[in-house]
Amino acid sequence: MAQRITIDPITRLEGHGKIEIFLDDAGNVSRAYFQVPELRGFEQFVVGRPAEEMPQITSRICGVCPTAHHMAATKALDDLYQVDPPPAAKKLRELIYSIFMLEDHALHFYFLGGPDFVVGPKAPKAERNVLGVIGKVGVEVGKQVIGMRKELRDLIALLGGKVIHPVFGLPGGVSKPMAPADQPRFIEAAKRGVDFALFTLATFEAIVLKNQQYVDAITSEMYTHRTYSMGMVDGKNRGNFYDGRIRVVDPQGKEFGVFTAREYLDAIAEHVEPWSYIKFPYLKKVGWKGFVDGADSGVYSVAPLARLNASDGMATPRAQEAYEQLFATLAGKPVHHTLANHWARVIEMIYAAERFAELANDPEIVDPKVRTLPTEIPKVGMSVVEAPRGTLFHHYETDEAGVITRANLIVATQNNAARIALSVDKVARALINASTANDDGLLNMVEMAFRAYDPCHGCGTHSLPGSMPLKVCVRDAAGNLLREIRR
Amino acid sequence: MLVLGLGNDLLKDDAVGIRVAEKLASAFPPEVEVRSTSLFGLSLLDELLGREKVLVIDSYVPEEFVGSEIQERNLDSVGESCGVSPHFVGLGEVREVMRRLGLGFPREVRILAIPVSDPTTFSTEMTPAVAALVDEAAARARRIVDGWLPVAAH
Repeated sequence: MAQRITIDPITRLEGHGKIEIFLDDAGNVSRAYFQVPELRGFEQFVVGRPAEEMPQITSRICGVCPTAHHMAATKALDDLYQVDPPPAAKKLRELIYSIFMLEDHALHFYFLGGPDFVVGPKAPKAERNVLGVIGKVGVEVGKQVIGMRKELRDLIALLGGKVIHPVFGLPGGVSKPMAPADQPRFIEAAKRGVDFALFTLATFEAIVLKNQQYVDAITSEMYTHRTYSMGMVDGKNRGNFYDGRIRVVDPQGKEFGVFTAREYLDAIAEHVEPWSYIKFPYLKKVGWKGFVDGADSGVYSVAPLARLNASDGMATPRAQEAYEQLFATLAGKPVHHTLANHWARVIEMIYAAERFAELANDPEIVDPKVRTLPTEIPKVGMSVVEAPRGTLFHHYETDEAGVITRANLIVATQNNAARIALSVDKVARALINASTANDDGLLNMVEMAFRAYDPCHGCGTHSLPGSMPLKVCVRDAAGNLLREIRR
Repeated sequence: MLVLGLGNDLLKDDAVGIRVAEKLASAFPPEVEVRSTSLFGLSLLDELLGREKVLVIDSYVPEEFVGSEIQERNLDSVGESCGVSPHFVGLGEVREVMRRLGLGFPREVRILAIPVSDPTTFSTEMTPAVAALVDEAAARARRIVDGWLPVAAH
């Protein structure tokens, strides 16, 4: 009899991820699905509200990456009112954004990717968590991670107010300049940030790259999908988080296209599946061919590795060195190994820290002129930023008074949704069958396939038990539940 | 001492922890701080640092909302380690991280869990039956905190 395996939550039915694995009559995987919940009614909620509220509203959608939504919304307002912020305002925004990326990536590397690689994919379940990571890297490093994170968040709050309720971005600029007396604090923190990012790279090399078992896992075929890659680049095609054009390269690494935020609807379309709330974006010019990779399939990838693939290099020196090392080690560009996202994330930490230092030391950063007042009548505003988890689009339409009549967001995890579904299915097919369905280590390796993307789908709600549950279910072809794992 | 309301006031019933905290804004003497936050996971660590006693007010989703009641819980009943994401680690895991790193976890943490019906629809209006629980939850929170205060401070 065919079978089914599920990964699902304990007490709540929302805010969780769920993996369903269906086995066929022979006991092999016929199909694995990764399902995420949906927060309902965002478009209706914002219609009728002043567009100026969007940086505050959207930053409260999600307690995980409020700064990314705040910045995307602020840039969409620039576009809506056709206003160009002064240079110091742009630099302050990018400074805040670089700090945010550094902090978020560090948290992911040590406490999310950490259990998979620092502790080990097949380590006992009881050790595959934050505490296991602390046990492995040591209490002092754990304290350093927590301390660095707090320092960075305090700096964001110093300039922009509370992280979750920022009062920073305004159409045409920011709410306040940096006080000259505060600049040394940012400069000193940036130095520590660069050191910390380089230390993290050294940690990754020592624990992961020197362990052949881990390297084999990174480069294994089951974690590899030859898809298109998408990421933001500057005028020299170097990666950028805050501003630029979106570049797409094909599975061979050749430039496929470049577009601006205003052109995103020409580049991306969305596919609907009956088994998932999430819509699956794909490249419009290639078309939807199903959950398959290759040049004929419009499935694409975002997030750290895709950003490195889509760029020609990094704009800061130490990040560029690390970028070259990654592609030299993994046999050229582009790299399609999903688990290499962890490495790419560390390289982006270095870039974020170096860019933070450049901006903190820039004399213009304390220029008091930080706002250009909008004078144009609003109509349509579109923007894009690179969130930690990938490309994030905001699109608003308003009446002449600036009241929202339509809104559309494509968030990072959504951009990656098709590739995540592809990954979960491929790894499940490679590892799971009737006789291995009870192997917790193997099921963890299925979960690793999506954890590498740093997916975010609990956006905003966090009812008790306070953790994001995950359920894995294994079912036979008749739908009977054979095994259920809850985390 | 800290009274901490958790939730997201844009997501319908998920606002309930915040609404209760608002109700308690001026209910206590200065040694009790009342705060609310939409952050969660390891971000809660920042809120707990340096506190001696903490009352967390949060929501839970029961299998059947009708007939469900406000519950008082302790840390051992929630926040089990899930290992899925640092964004969604539970209070129990935060406690272990703080202890392991010598960061001084509060001596006492109590949890007031309020049943909710719909915490995933964008709305600033709670379900009426959930809104009706705010006063009762605030009264229970007041009783818990009053028990922590010296008699003269009540």
